[in-house]
Parts: sequence; structure tokens; C-alpha cells
Amino acid sequence: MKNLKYFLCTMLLAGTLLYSCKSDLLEEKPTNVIVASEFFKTAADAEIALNGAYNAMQGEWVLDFLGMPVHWGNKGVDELNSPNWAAGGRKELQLYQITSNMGAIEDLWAGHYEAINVVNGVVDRVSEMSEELIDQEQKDRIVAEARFIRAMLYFSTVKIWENIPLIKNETRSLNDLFVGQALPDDVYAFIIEDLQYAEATLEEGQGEGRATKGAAAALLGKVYLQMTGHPLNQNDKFGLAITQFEKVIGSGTYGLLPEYADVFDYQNEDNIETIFAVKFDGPAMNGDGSSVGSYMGPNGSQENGGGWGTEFVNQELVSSYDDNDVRLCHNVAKHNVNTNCIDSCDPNCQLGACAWRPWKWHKPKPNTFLYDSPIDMIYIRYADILLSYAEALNRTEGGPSSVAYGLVNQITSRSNAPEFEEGMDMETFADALLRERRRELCFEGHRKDDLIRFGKLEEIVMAINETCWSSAGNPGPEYQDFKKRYPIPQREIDLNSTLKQNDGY
Amino acid sequence: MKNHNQLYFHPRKFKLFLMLFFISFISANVFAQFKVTGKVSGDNELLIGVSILAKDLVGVGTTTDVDGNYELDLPDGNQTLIFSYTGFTPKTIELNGQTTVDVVLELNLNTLDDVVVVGYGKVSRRDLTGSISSIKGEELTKIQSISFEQGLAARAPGVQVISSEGGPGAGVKIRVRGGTSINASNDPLYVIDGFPIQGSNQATNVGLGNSSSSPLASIDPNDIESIEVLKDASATAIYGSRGANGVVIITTKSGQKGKAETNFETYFGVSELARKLDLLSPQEYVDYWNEYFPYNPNDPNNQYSAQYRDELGNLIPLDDARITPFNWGNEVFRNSPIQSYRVSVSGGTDKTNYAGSFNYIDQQGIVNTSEFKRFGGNIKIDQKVSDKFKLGFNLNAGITDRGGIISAASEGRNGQNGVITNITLFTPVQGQIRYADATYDENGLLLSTRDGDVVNPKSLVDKTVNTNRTLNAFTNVYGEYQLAEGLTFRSSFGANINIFKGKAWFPSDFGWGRNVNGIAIIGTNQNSGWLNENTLSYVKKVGNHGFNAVLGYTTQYSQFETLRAESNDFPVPNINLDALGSALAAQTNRTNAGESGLRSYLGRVNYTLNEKYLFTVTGRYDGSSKFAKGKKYGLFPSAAFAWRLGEEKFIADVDAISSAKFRVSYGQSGNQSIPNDFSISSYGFANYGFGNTGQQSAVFLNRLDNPDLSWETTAQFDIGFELGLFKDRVYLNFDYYQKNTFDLLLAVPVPFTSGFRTSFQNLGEVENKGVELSISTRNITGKKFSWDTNFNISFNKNEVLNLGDAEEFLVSSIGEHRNDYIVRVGESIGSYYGFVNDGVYSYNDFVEFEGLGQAESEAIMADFDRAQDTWFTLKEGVPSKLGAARFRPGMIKLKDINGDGIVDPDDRTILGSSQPDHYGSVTNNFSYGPIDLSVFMTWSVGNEVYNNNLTRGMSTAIPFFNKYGVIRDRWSPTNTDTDVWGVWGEGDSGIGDDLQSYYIEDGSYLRIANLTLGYRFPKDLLQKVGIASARAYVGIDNIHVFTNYTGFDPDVSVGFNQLTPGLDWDAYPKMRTYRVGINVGLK
Repeated sequence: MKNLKYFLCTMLLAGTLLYSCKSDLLEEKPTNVIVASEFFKTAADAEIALNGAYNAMQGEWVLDFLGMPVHWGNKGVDELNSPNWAAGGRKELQLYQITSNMGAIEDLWAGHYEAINVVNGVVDRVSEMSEELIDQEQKDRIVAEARFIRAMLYFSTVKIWENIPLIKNETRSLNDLFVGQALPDDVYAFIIEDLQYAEATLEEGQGEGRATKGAAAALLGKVYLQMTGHPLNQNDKFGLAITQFEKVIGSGTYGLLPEYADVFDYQNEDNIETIFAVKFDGPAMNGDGSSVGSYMGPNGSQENGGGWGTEFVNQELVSSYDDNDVRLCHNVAKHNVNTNCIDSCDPNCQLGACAWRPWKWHKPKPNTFLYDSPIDMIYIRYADILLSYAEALNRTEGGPSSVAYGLVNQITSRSNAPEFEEGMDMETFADALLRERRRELCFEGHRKDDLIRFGKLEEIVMAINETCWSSAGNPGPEYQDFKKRYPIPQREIDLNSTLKQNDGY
Repeated sequence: MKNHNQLYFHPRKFKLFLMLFFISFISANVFAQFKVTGKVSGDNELLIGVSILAKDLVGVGTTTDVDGNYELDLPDGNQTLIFSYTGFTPKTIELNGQTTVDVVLELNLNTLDDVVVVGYGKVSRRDLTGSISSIKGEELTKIQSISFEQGLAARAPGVQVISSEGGPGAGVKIRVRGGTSINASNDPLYVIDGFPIQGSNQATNVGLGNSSSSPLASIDPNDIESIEVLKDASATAIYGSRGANGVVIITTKSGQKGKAETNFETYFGVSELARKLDLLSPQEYVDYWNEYFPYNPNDPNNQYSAQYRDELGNLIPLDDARITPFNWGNEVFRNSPIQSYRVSVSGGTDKTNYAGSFNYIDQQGIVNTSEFKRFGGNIKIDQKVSDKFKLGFNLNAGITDRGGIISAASEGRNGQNGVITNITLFTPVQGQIRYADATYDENGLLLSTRDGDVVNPKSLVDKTVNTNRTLNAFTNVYGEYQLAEGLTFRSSFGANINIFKGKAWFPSDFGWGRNVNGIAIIGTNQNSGWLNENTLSYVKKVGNHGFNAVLGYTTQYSQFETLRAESNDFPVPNINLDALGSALAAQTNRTNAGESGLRSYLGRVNYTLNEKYLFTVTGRYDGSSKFAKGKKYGLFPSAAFAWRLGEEKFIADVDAISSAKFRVSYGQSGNQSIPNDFSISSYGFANYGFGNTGQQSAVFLNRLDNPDLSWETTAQFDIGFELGLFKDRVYLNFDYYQKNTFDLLLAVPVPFTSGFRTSFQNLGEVENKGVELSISTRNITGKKFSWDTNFNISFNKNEVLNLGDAEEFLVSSIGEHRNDYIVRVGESIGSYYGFVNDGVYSYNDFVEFEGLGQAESEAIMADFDRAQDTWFTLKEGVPSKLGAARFRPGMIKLKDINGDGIVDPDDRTILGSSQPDHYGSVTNNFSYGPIDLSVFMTWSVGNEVYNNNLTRGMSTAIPFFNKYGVIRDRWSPTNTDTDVWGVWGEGDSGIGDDLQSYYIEDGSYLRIANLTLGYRFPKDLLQKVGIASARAYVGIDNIHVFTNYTGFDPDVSVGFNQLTPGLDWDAYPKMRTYRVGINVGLK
């Protein structure tokens, strides 16, 4: 009897105790993630959040190589050929068979806006931190770096889609999901504001992956320059661009490397020619590596330094190089890395021209990189600034000055390419400059923006005539003027009725 | 009673009441003045353990011993005794002073007196108002399935059991009356001896692959007394928030009074591959290769075109020493043994019932190295401490070991293919030239080709490690106290733990591990929890009014932890998994953890009037940690009414009708099976590296908070009818139901501009409605020969009714296709989505062949070295394909559904679904004297299977893989009357990562699932050797499948995403097993 009584009491007690121990049984208290409302309590929190902004920009489909450069800058232009077997929408983008329900366009859009929201969160929440939590100088620097990243993101978004929702703050409620489109002018104004703040706040220096005063100045110059072309066509921006480029050049922080190849050497990163790069570490560094060297790489197995074989080089690009131009054999792989050839231009090594592939970022032989290489994606480099400066000067001065020639010839002389000879008029110089930009900057994601800015996209696209088996076809037949920006993803229009599709789609 | 009831609602007073009750406890004492003895038999046997109760004396009774004898002391000889025994009709006998009473019990054909386990109680089937399928242990173990879920397959109407794949210990998906939810789990709640557990399949691979197994695989189906599947809301509402997907109640075997039994059971068997695939023969493969790589006189030693040709371009015959044909199937498949042993004891005395068992099973798979082993045990003890107080314990524990191959691997590149894909597609003929990008073993045999994309299946199986071990245990203690007649208080406390540890090793010489000099991964998951339940139940009969009520309060806590360690680059030979520290490159260790809790109040009242009108009202008020503050609690009520028509005079007078019942119920149950903490905004972790200083920690916002997140609710209406004819020789059970799930826990697509892809909200609605019918017939019930048949069939229609603002969203399965499934309003969840094939482009589709005959067309093609390098102009009106710029005959042609002249993503459509029109089974049991025979057949009709293996198996753009046999009939300039694309036909068509209808196949099947022939040894013979009973049997599982499906087996669904059902991708094939076994009962 006694035992029984004890037992029942114990049972009840055990139950009662467990309830009281677990009075928070129904509370949500995650320990495997950070609860948003409990973060941003220290300066260290703010720094970690800022790292998150860099990480967001680095994401696949954003400013990672596979994002904006591959799916926008290099596509539908005369740099690469997509073969028949290229999947994931790249072939369609190359051929201008563009529809608003393409997965690639959806992913590109989603990637950019996810990153924008992360960065908005950093800007908002760090700005909200009181002085007891973080000192003003550190706070300003963090906000300025984040705003630089936001400017990069909006710059690419407005170029790709033109008419985009301009979201300035982090989405914090389900009631704030539906935002309409802003005028491109307003988006550019916002970008300029961010960059001006970043330039004013940040320190000079190469930065080793961090945004700096120089990077902000350079990007702002490029933004002004792009504003001179479609859709804004604001010629007054050439002057503003020049001021920015002069600041970059005058800072003395940056310069050209003596060897073209060294710029893209993954063991020589954060060099003086790199103004800003999206950083990658790999292999096996928590998945922080890139596909840069594999997406575009020679024939042969990946561990020997080969690529995937889903991009081939445009034949006209190859023939545009002078035979002595060192960039030719650096940027174009004519060989198979499984053989013993090291120089792509070694005549004993050459494959048929249709098998030539892009090869700007060289992986070592052997390597274990696969999809996870340590190769950075350079976002702005000094050579681009020199050429952009020359471009702006040519336009504002109604023709090339000796300064402009000098700028371009810094580039050509480094690569043992033919110099620009004096005597060109404005248009001739601009045309030559555009071709020089392709030889210098090919595959880096600039070509489409350049062609749009120069008003040459249609002309160039129509002229593409590739006959190789490694080309799925020519983009000309499907090109139409409205295709110089992508359609707003149909999914977004379906979900958000305030959005209007870009004309033509 | 009213007073008592008032007391219960005040816990403090209630405790006081209990104390008082214990103190005033007096044990009854019966004075023996009259002794009655006798024998009880039935079905020509003496019956052991028959319960004998004195009708008018509380607590006076006994049971028969092993010889069927009983002896009972009574105060006088004017008592009435009730003899009852499972499976027999109870008999009531008035003693009238007799001292010896021998009783013969009649076999009971109907099941109305069976006790059915319901949530927090038991009722007789007669009094049931809800829709519950009950499966007895014997039925479950007829097919000696490894897990009870497999045993459930097609046994119960409304319960769909779908295999993930065919390997040993492979998981299954169970759907009770269809899937109710889109993003929350659709798996039923399992209740094991009272312990509720959300039993979703566990991943069994820590490296590659998407194989799964049941978390309850540790339970030996032979330990199960019965499984009850609660289907309608009246039955499930007592489990409230977790009842929406049905509840599977598992009751393990208990000992029975007087019935001491010791059993030994064993069987041996051998399994083989049940169905073979049609692949190209070595010669056909070489022919295909040579068509792909024509002879090139300018480059006679080309590593491709000279692979199977001599320098002059002549074909090398297969028996030539320069080339080596293989049959990978023969190398890797085997006939594999299975063995099982089980010992059990059970029994009981007046005070103690006990049951204990131990089982060991070792099943080798038909692919080398794959296996499943289990060591399991079950102990159950019930002790009557006094007449009023009962105490019980049980413990069920099992260790399962799985060894295996990588299957259902999601990646198809970088050597990450699964074994099955490699078996089917690895080159069947090794040519004469070594490739630059292939690896070879020391004998010069190919290890892998194409940078490790395709791996020699034998090496893959032999050298890759992929094993795991799981410990799963439940334990429970309860105390039950009878407070007053019919009023019982029960309190129980239980705990469970599930510990999984998986290991995977990918060696350095081929495949995935090659690039990084070996990959070793160790992963562990641990799930555990505790449960406290307190119930008060009351049973009372007053005149024509019967009451049966239960009230309860329960809390349950669950917790999980995971750890994953991975290292690469192992320089010391043969040292890897057991010394991760020897690796040169350690990856970041990853952990995860979380906890959740439920607090619930429940109640149920059954009321019967005149034993004809039955009413049940149930409710549960559940609070869950998974929801937002202020939204944690939900109420789930139900009500049911049943009318035992058979008891009404107008029916009772009809001779043919032996019983009839009409049931109707309506109620709500819920679903809370989503990950923890979804209502709060949170940051996930990442990293970023500046300069060369290494990685810095980074965080990013990954979830928008939803302060309104709450329950998903399912409302269900059920109407049912049960009819017994001809003394229940025919018994029919029919149900119609409609289940509407609303306020779905839905990952609602939100505009990407918000920074999020989806947000978890209570939005949307899904409907399931259907019909279930089961018919049992006793066709022949002779003394010597009997034959009975059980038939059941289920129809369920699943439809998405509402997705909030969205009309549809796309889902990608594992494998190489993207957006190959759709969830769309008006369709069933997880339909296949893609382009419709329209054969291939023919000569007629091109301007250049206008008006030409076959011979003239062939003549044009003959001018080209390779048909695939030539292009022609499509005629006006012939649709082109987005993603293709150039066309030729033999390329895949797709249907231009909207007729705009170009096949683009708008021309995608629903290609089918894995939902069958109906499914079911037929079982025929025969017995002739000591011989018994049963034949079990199952079917599924109208479901489609997504045979994703065809994507690679039919890829004519990749020469390095072997092909499926269908490629024999490929288009070529001379073979034009075909739907199968020619060389490069799909690569050039711009199909890319889209799904096309060619890969969707009819998955209807009829399976002879089991045939068992048994023999019971005669008792007199056995007695000489001291054995009580013995039965030997032979059985064959999965004898034959009648189907048009071209893959291994249409009963397949790999992967963990419930929105991508019916996917066959690198799935382990099903086996056919032949078994011989014997069950021996010792005295």
C-alpha cells in the first residue's frame, strides 16, 4: 500500500516537475541560428553582418562570375559561343531567345534582390545602433562599405532590367512585399548617393577585397559613364566621370602590372591593378570557392586545368588580335591541357579552331579545384579605368587628345599590341577603343554594357557569323532592340501586380 | 459521479481525493465454498488461456492452463460463468450447481468483438464510430517484411504504402487518405505503445545519395500484436495537432494469463534481381559508338573513332584481344542470402503478464556489399499490484546496421553518380585506346571515364564505404489505478531515443574522391524526447445507456542534434574513416540542434443508447512550440454518430443480413510538422575571405518573421457503412470521405524583391476525397478445407484548391532536371511538368526534302559524313524550339501546345502524376488440414512514374555511357519511321534541363506480392519430441509484376521532397526472395 502511494505520488510529481522545469516548453528559442532581433548588440556583430553583405554579393547568380558576368555581360555579344549542349538558359540568352519565364533570368533577379535585402539590413540595422554599442567612426565605415556593395548590386540590376523596384530598406514585414518600379533616373540617383557617401567615408588603399575610397571613386566614374548611354543618354555625365577617373589615377594607389598574365594569376591577387574584386577562397574552404577557371577553360580534364566545355570563343575575337599580342594566347586556349603543351599558341598543340575555348583564368596543372577554385572575380581593374577615362575624354573633347592616346597605349604597349596611331577622329577613336576594350577586358563581363553604352549592340550582334559546330547558332536573327534589357521575370509580375513588363516582351 | 467529475477539474483537490482513496483502500476477500472444474476446447483443440469470469462477482475469475483445464472457487453454485477467448464467440453458462463443466467454444467468424486500439483507449469493433483499419500481427508477418511499414503495404484501404526503392531496409512513404499538406509533412503520426512519434524517413547516406529508411526499422514486425490506422477525424482528433495525416497505432505483444509460450522462429532465404533492364548489348553499343564517331582516314588513331576499329577502319570483333566486353550486371548483382531468428517468451499469472523477445535478421542485398541487419528486443511487463492498482513497463530497442551502395544520387557529374546508374551505363566494352581523361587500374582496366563522371561499378561498389548504424529505443512506465468502479486513473512516463551514425568513404583513385585524394564523412543525428500522459477514464453502463469517457493532460518534449565531420586528402594508404585526423584537409565541422514541445488537453465521450445508437465527441486542445507567440494553441474537435442498423427489427428479420452499421463523422485535426522556429526572423551563417587572411565569419538574413504563424487544419467528413451477410461470411466495409486542409503551412512564393523567395504563411487549401471498400469473404468453411478472401480497393483524388496569391509554383527534383514538378491549383500535389514529345523531326518537316521520297532523302544524307553535323531549313508552320537555332531530321520534336510556332516554356504542361486512380490488394487464404496456402496480390492503376534514368540512358549526345535498349530504334537517315531521336537528337533540340513526356511512363501494375505455403506438424508427433507446435513454410515475395513500366519497378519514389513523388532515379531495384522457415512453439 505504501509503495503504491509513493509510486503514484512520484508519477504525478515527476510530471509536475517536468512541467515546471519546462515552463518554457512552448517557447521558440533557437540556438542554431541568430534571432534577428537579438543581433546588432556589439561592434563585432556589425562587422560580422557586414561580412554577410560581402558574402551576399558573392552569391551565385549575383556578382559571382556565374551571375552577372556570365548571364548578362558575356551573353548575346561577340565574345563567346554557347554550344548546343549548354544548359541553364545560357544558349537561349546568347541567341536572344529570351522569354520572361526563363529560369536563368528569374535566378539572376532573385539573387540580386536577395543580396540587396541583406545589404539593406546591414545599412539599416547598423545605422540604428547607438553610440554605446559601436563608435561612430566604425559605424560609418561599415555603413559606407555596405552602401558600396548596394551600389554595385543596383548598378547591375538597373543595367540588366532598366525598370526595377528601388527598395531602400530591409523588408521586415509581410505587409511590405509589393513594391512598384522606379524610374532608371531615380535608381541611378540612389546609386550615386551611396557611392558618394562611400567615397567620402572610406579610406584610400587597395583594400584586399574591402571597399575603399578608390573603389567607390572608380565605380562612381563607371556609373556616370554608363549613364551617358542607353537608357538615360546623359552626355553631361562624361565630365563627372572624368573627375572620378582622375581621382582614381591621381591617388597613386593603383597601376598596371607589367605582365598581363599576372593580373589573373590566383597567386597574385589583391594586386595594384585590382581596384575591387569579389573574393573567393578554395578549394575546400567552406564552399567559398568560385567556378571562374572551370566555366571558361581549355579542352582537357579539369584536374589538368581544363574547363567544362560549355563556352567556346568567338572566332572574330580571336582574329581581332595581332599575332604578337600576348593577350591572344593568354585569353584563348587553342590546346588541350591533357597534352604536354603549356603555351596555347604552340603550333604543335593546336586543335581545330572550332574547339578553341576562353582561357583568361588559368588553373594549375594538376589542381583539385573543380567548382571550388580560389580565383577572384575582378570587378573593376585599373586597365578598365584607363580605357574608360580615354573614352570620356574623347567624347568631351570631340576627339582623342594626346592624353587619350597615351592612356590607350599604356594598355597596348604592355601586351605588345599595335599602338593607337594619332590622327583618328572621335568616332574612329571610339570604335578602335571599343575593340581594344574587347581585347583587353573580354570575358570579364563588360562587353554588353560597353556595346549598349556605345550604341553598338545591334550592329555587333547582327554581324556575328559563327559557323562552328561549337556554336548553337547566331544571335542576329532573333535580336530586336527591346532585348537590350531582360524581361521582368513573369513570376514577379504574377505575384506583384504593380509591376509592368518591359516593352516588347 | 457528478461530484467526482467536479473534483477532477481541480488538480489540488484531486490529489487529496487520491490520497484519501488509497488510505481507505480495502481488499476484497472471497470465501471459497464451491469449486467448479472443466476443460475448454474449440476448433478441435484444447484452448489455453481462455478467460473465465463469474458474471456477478467483481474480480473473480481464472484462465485455462496449457491442457485447457480450469478450476475456480466460488461462494456458491448459483453463479453464471462467462468463457471468452480471442477469435471465438463468448459463451455464458449458468452453473445450477454443476461442479464439472466442459465447454466447447464456437469459432467466431465476425470481427465485431475484436478489440480495437484507439487513441488513449480501446473499444470493441462493435462500438466503433470512426473509420479505423486494424491489421493483426499474423497478417503483417505473412510476408516476412523487414519493417512493419512494408507489411502494411496494400493491407488496409486508404493506406497507400510507396517504396522509396528496392534495397534492403529501404524506406517507404505512407499516405493515409492522400497527402494533406504541401510544405508540412504528409507522414502519419506513429504511436508505439502509446508513444507518439513523427516518423519521417531518415536519410541513410551521409555522403552521396538519397536513400532513406524508416526510423522505426528497429521494430520487428513479429513483435507487433496489431496495427490500427486511424483515418477519419473522429478517430484522429484525439491526436489533435498531429492527426491530419492519419495515425498509425502500433501495439506490441503482451503476455496473456496462463498462456505461457516459448517460440522459436527462423527462416532462410535467397533474393535475386526481380526484373532486368533492356540495355544495348556490347555489340549494339559499339555500333552506336561507331555511328557517333565515324571512321576518319585523316586521323586513324583518334582516341574516339579508332576505339573499336583497326587502322583501316574495319570493325574489331568483340572476341578480339584488343577490346574487352563486360557484363556489369553479372559483376555487381548477386543472389543474396537472408536469415532471420527470433525467440520469444510470454505468459502470465494472476498478477503478472510478461512478454519478451529477441530478434536478429541479416538481409544481404542483391547488389554486392548492400545489407541490412537488425538486433532487436522487446520486453513488456504488466503487474497487478493489487486489485485496483496496475503497473507496467515496456522497453523496445533495436540496433540496425545498413551497409550499402550509393543510390538515388542527386548529382550526375564529377563521379557523383550512384551505383545503379553506373551499373547500367558504364561502358560495356573497353576499347583499344586509353583515354587521356580516364583512370585505369593496375591491370589496365577502366576505373572511370570522362573525368570520373562514370565509374566502374565494380570498383565503386567494392571500394566505396557507405554504412550506417541506428539505435532506436522506446521505454515507458505506467501506473493505473482504479478509483472506483469503471473509473481509472492512468499516468505514464516514457522516453525515446534514436541515434544514427553514418560513414562514407570515397576513395582517391576514381570518382568523387579522386580530385581531392579521398573524401571521408561521418555524420550523426540524435533525436530524443520524453512524454508524460495522465488520463482519467470512466466506463459505465446504466440500463440502456453506456458511457465511455476519457480525459487527459499530456506533455511531450523532443530534441535533435546533428554533427557532420568531413575530411579530404588522405595520404596514408587504407587509413581514412577511422582516423579522420590523418587527413591533410579538414572541412568545417557542422552541427545543428533544436528542441520543441507540445502541451495538450484532451477528452472523449462515447455514449451508446440501446446498443444501437453510438455517439462520440472528441476534442484536443494543443499547444506547440513551433508557432508564433499568441498563436500556439489550437482546438481540434470531432463528433461521430453510428447506427447499428443490424439491431433494428426490420433488418434483424432479414435472414441474409447478419450485421449492419452506418457511420458518419466530422471533425478537425491539425498538422505542425514543420521545422522549428519558423515564425521568427533569423540569420544563417556563411563566410567571406578578405586578402589572404583566411575566412571570416559572416551572417545573412534568411527568414522573414511571421508573427501570425499557426496551425494547419484539416477538416474531414466521413460516411461509412458496414454490412455482414450470411452470418458474416461476407463482410463489407465502405467509406466515403472528404478531407479539406486549409490554412496550410505553406512556403508561399513572395516577390523576390522582398529579398526572400518564400515566406511561411497559413495560406491555401488542399482537398482529398475518396472511397474505400473492403470485402472479406469466407468462401468455404469446411472442417477440412477452408478458403477465404480479403479484398480492398481505395480511390483517392488529391487536388490543390488554393495557393494564396499564386496559381502554381514549380519544384525541382533531385537529378538533372529543373522545374520538373508543379504544384498548381486544380491539380494533384506534385504533378510532373514539362514538354510533350511529338516524335522527331522528319524529312517532311524540311524545305530541302520537299517532295522527295525516302530513297532520295537518304541519298542527300549520304553526302554527309555525320548526319548530326548537317542542318536544314524548317518548313513554314513546323514549330521550332527555343534554345535551338538549327534543325535537322532525327532531332526531338516537341508539341507546340499554344500554337505560336515556337516551343518555349509556355508550352510546358502537366505530364501526369504519381497518384493512382485506385490501388488495393486481394489475399486468398486456403487451408486443407495441416496445409495452408496464401496468395497476396497488390495493384496500382493509373499512376505515372517519372523514369528519370532515361535522361542519361537515352542520351544520344553522350557516347561514353551505355544506352537503354530503346535506343536501338533510333532515328537514322535510313531508319526514319521511329519516335526515338537519332545521334545528337536530344542534345541539339534545346531540351537542356527540361523534362519531356518521353520520361513519364504508365506505372500501373499488378504484383503477385507473396505466396506462402505452410504445413502444421501433427501434435501427437510433436509431443514425442516435446514440442507444442511447429509450422514450416516456404514463401516467395515479389513473384511477378505485370506492368508496362520499362524501369526496374514502378513502385518507386526516391528523394525526400514530398512534392516530387513518383521519381525513379538511380533507384535500387526490387528483389524477389525465396524463403523457407519454421516456427516452433515449446512447452
